[in-house]
Amino acid sequence: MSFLLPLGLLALVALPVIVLLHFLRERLRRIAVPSLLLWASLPRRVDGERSRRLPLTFLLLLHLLVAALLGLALGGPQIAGALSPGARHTAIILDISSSMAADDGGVTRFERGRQRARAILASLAPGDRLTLIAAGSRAQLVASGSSAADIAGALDALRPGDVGMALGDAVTLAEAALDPQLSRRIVLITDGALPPQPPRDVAVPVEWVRIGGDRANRAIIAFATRPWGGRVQVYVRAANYDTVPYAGTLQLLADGRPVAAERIVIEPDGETEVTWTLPSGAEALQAVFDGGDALPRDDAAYVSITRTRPVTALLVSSRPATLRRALAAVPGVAVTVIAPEAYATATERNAADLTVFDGYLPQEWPPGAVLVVAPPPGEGLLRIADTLQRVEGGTPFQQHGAALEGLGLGGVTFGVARRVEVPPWADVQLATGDLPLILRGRMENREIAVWTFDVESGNLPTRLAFPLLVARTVRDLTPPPLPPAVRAGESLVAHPDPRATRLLVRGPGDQSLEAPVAPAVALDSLTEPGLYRVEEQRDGVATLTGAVGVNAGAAIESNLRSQPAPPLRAPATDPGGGASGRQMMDLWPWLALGALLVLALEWAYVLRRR
Amino acid sequence: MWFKDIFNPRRPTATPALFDETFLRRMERLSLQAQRTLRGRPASGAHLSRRQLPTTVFSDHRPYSDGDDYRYVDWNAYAHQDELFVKLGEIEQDINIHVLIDVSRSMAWGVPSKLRAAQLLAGALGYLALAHNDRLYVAPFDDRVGREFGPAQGKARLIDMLRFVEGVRSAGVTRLPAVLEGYARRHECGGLLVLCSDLLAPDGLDSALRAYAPPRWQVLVVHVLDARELEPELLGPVELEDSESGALLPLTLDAETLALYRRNLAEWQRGIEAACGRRGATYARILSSWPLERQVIPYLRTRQVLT
Repeated sequence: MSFLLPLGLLALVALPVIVLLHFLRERLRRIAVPSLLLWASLPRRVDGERSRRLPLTFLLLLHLLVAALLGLALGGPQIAGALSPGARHTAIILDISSSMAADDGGVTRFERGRQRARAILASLAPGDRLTLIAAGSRAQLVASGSSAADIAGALDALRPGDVGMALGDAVTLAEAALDPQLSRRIVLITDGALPPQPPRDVAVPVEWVRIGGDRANRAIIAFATRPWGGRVQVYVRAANYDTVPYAGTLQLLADGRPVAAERIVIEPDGETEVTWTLPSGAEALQAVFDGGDALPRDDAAYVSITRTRPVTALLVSSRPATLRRALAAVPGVAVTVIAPEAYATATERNAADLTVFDGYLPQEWPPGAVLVVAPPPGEGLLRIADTLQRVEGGTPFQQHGAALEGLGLGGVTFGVARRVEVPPWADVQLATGDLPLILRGRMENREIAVWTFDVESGNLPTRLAFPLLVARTVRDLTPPPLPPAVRAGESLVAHPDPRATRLLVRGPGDQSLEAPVAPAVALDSLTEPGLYRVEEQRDGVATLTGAVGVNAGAAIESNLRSQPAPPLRAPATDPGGGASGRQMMDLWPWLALGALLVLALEWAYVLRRR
Repeated sequence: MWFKDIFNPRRPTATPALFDETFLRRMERLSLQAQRTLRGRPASGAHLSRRQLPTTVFSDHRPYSDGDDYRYVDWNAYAHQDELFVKLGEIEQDINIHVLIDVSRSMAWGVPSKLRAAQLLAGALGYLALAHNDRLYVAPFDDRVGREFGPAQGKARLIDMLRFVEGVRSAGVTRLPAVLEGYARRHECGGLLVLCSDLLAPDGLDSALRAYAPPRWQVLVVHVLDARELEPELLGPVELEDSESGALLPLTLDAETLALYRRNLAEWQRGIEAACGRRGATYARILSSWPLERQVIPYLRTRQVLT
């Protein structure tokens, strides 16, 4: 028998207390007499006699029994139940990393692992439970319970493809999911292609099921590009995980067309690097070679060349020269200038990704991002003071925020500024004294920045900080571009335009998915290598299309030879309550019921004595 | 509480009627023995008075005074002695009869209760009083006198009297001296007082009877006790509870303690009897279990309370 709440046994202190109370106050038989007139003068020898012995009465026994039953019940006692002997709870951790997709004698390693999992599932006895955890780049509890059909369905839906295996997280998840009242164990089904793991203690027994043997493999483990003077430099690194050298041709395709090829020879367990310089203009590149190995998915790699997200900026200003020059210098930004008086009727005002109001403020905010420079006095969208205030030189600036981090403002004079009342949706990123100079905030999914100073009144346009400040502000106000490539299974975080109504992702083949639009959308199901196209739509019209490559090649994942088992220190048997192989049964309800019955008996006994 | 009654095996039983008609008819043959010193009204009644008045059936003479009724002049004596004498004789009178019933909580004790015995006796004596044309007062009391019955005279008030006696309920604690002194102040004419009580009061009876001195008053103290008061069936450690005050007294009872109790009881009874003797009252101790007709009435006849 064990106790869930041993602290509750402190209630048994009531036992000696009850004995003490009975000892001090022995309950005498109460007799009613007409008057104590004739009894009062009799000698009272009752106290001395009573203190010499413990009154072992039936009532005392009942009270002790009630206190003992309740005290034990509070301790949460449990005994091994006889109804389900040998009940077990097994947690299967199934490796769904990319290496599990390797061919292993006609079937993939993953299929072999799934067969092992099905065999365990088939051996479930009545009362047994099973928890299925998929271990890829993240650990995920897929199914749990005693229903073999449900778990088999979840098992069939799993696919390998992630790069990396979060073994530690999977083991932690399994430990938490296992029922301590049952005999617990963890079955780890993997091919062993794991990154080095730190030593780790596991509370329950771990059964290591190794899938697959040593297999030769070649892979592209790195593929990257960078702009180079109007051209594009391409970098490829390929590895040979074999005991014999590899010789073959590495081919480079731009938007599906071959643009370069190079003969490569890779030594056993060696790597080789290839670089090309290509003219720009392509959207995406693909590097591929014929590995002729067990894992073809890492014989190709993909990357998007587009580094910037195009931004259409609308500059509303009566003296636009300085700001237009700075905006146009930002990569990807196309600037359109209109006069303030033409803004109300301008057709571009709703299409612009970024609207810059210089010395002008409309009646309502435009739908995209907004930069307000030197706003005029008034109480419309912002409450702005009438008087211009000179920003004193030499006063230290208080600056914070990512857009201003590391930006040197030494020697900069901001000229004059108007005091702007900081709205609740914004905070001050740059100020001098109590005068805010730059405000930043978000209102109704609309990014807004406010420069309270007049750019032309100080020396800022002549300083290096000015184009940097403009470029950073543009990047801060507009969504960032997609990454050129991610690893298979790695979460791709997209930042669509806040005005977008739909986000479509089309993968290799017919793979397609639609994600809800949010400031940050995490796409977790990109496991198949290839080039994925991400499309933002606004009211059914595509407004932006980007690409991102998903690659399966990685130094650890692509090495299909045996790796040492991870250093998991686990007991041979379950040291918990389930070691006996029996399901634990709670006793407290029965004890409480017994106490209730004894209380009823005590009540009836006291009533009959009266 | 209802659940208490569910498990309590001692359910209350129906109480039989206090009086039956045949018993009361037999009681009619008896009469209360009142002293001649009591003052009553000669208009009616059956009690002899110490006073002598002019009458035709005479036993004594006195010289004639102006205004005497000529019908009571003894003309034969005038013929012999040449003086006028008036014939004097004994007269019969009615008297006031006061029946005080102790209704304190201690009277509810016993099986049957002492109050029931007192009610029976009060009803019987009240019946005698009404049957013999005396003026009857019946008053229950605990620490004060409750609502009184009377004065009533004549058998026509019999039913009212019996209902009143039957309706008294026990409550409160006994305060004998205060109650008796107050009652005597309200009834200065005196009469025959019948006190039915267990006399379990901390204050003495002696001072209480001071206000009931003869010849104005004739007092009969009926001391009602239960047999278990005389011989308690108790032994071992007990906690005694005063039925009136609720006070508790833990005791270990054994033969020695019970002997001391009986000694206290005897001394207490002797004290009461002596107090009654000093104050000219008649003391009669009855047990609540005694049958009224077969045991109480004969006992009172031997005590010359009834004739």
